[in-house]
Amino acid sequence: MNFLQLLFIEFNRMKWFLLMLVIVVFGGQFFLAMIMPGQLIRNVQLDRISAYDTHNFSIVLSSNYYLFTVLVPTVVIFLYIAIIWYRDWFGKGTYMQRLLTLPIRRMTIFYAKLTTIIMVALLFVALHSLLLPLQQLTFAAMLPDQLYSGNADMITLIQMSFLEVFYWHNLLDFIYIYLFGIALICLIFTGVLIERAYRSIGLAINAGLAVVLFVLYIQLIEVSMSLYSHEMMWLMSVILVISLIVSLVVSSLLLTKRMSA
Amino acid sequence: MIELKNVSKRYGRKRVMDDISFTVSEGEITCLIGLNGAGKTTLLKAIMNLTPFQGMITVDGMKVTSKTYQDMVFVPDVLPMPRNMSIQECLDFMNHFYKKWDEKSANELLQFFQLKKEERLRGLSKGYLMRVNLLLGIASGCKYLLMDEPLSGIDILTRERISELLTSEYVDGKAILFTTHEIAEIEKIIDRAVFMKDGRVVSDYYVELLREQEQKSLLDKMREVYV
Repeated sequence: MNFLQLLFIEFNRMKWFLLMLVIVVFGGQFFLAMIMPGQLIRNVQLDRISAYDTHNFSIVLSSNYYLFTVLVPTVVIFLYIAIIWYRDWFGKGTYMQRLLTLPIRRMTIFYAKLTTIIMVALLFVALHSLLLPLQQLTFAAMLPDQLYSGNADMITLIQMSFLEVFYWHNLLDFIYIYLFGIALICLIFTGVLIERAYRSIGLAINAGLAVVLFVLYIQLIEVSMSLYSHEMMWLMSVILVISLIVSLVVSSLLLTKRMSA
Repeated sequence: MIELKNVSKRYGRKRVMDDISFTVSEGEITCLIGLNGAGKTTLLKAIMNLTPFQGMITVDGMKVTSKTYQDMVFVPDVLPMPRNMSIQECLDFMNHFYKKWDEKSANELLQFFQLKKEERLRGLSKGYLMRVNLLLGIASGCKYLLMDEPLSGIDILTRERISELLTSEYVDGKAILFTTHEIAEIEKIIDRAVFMKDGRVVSDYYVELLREQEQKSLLDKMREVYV
């Protein structure tokens, strides 16, 4: 299938970068799980904390350093949403010329890039959920038993930390969070395509759109005061679906009629 | 047949293509000749729907769509493939997308151009990248081949190889439209020359008729047009 072939090439192009990012992020998290017990022991020795208190892995999850290790891939993936397009125009050998002249619907390129970003994000969440218990075991192994309060339930640990944003409690949450993510990626993709189609005028259009979206967001916050949470969720879902459809239609038109390479 | 009718394009106030009309027929090698900025590359991109334009371009009577790309391929001046790919991966890539991909020609052209399948693109010189570029274009099996400056910035041996290729059986029956500055080298291989100046087609000749009727070479005609 053409889509899978393009998807394979997208992954092939970023495989070493992705591998490096995985090593840095998860290596950093394991490093934290190893050094934080040492800090706890030092604090006990210096009487900064009681020797009778016990601790669990949540102390690692709630640290700013751990937050940083999660923010790094989030920011990198966010930047990659634009890079995944621009490198095909500005990299050696204008690969975009090949992509746009392949005997396939041009939106296939869009969907392949979109799927790549979603899969990379899901890959990080999946790897994290697999490695989290191992990080807890590492933490437990490095901390003396008398200071360790025992293994905590993973779900509880996640719910007690900022990680809750990336995980989901039920199907509706999952759909809502990932719909938001997909709509956001599509809107940024559309912004890139507007810039590529109209260049400097496109930048001005994008700036205008960003202001409009910001004003809408402020209005939405005001409206949310007078709505129940489930009503707000439905309203947001409708707005996200509309954004997604508009983004796909505009992107399709730009790719078919206005694209330069 | 590729047919252009009143094709125009502006960049701000500057007209880069101005009311261009002509046709490109199968079995003919047509060369777009012009100085820098004449609008040759923009015209090729317009035909490939790689830049917006006013006017009408049809291929076999149809507007250019994704289906048309099974019959027309663009060979730009720089190989448009990611540099981390090997030649084999490029061949597989094209084979996947082009239904008429010609495996036999691809293998023969690898020999002809002295290319090794396992070589990575990032290790190749400009001349060798152009060889790969042409190989992918010709083996795609498309009947319309649009090439942008295939002879520029590469060594004399590679230029000779490319000129040889353009008169070989591999391009028999195909419509080839390409741009170049290297008039002297291509005079013997092209059927038709389209001269462009300031975004307009200023003259359009069949080279053989030019030689027979006006007793002039392409270079003579070029001097007439541009000097």
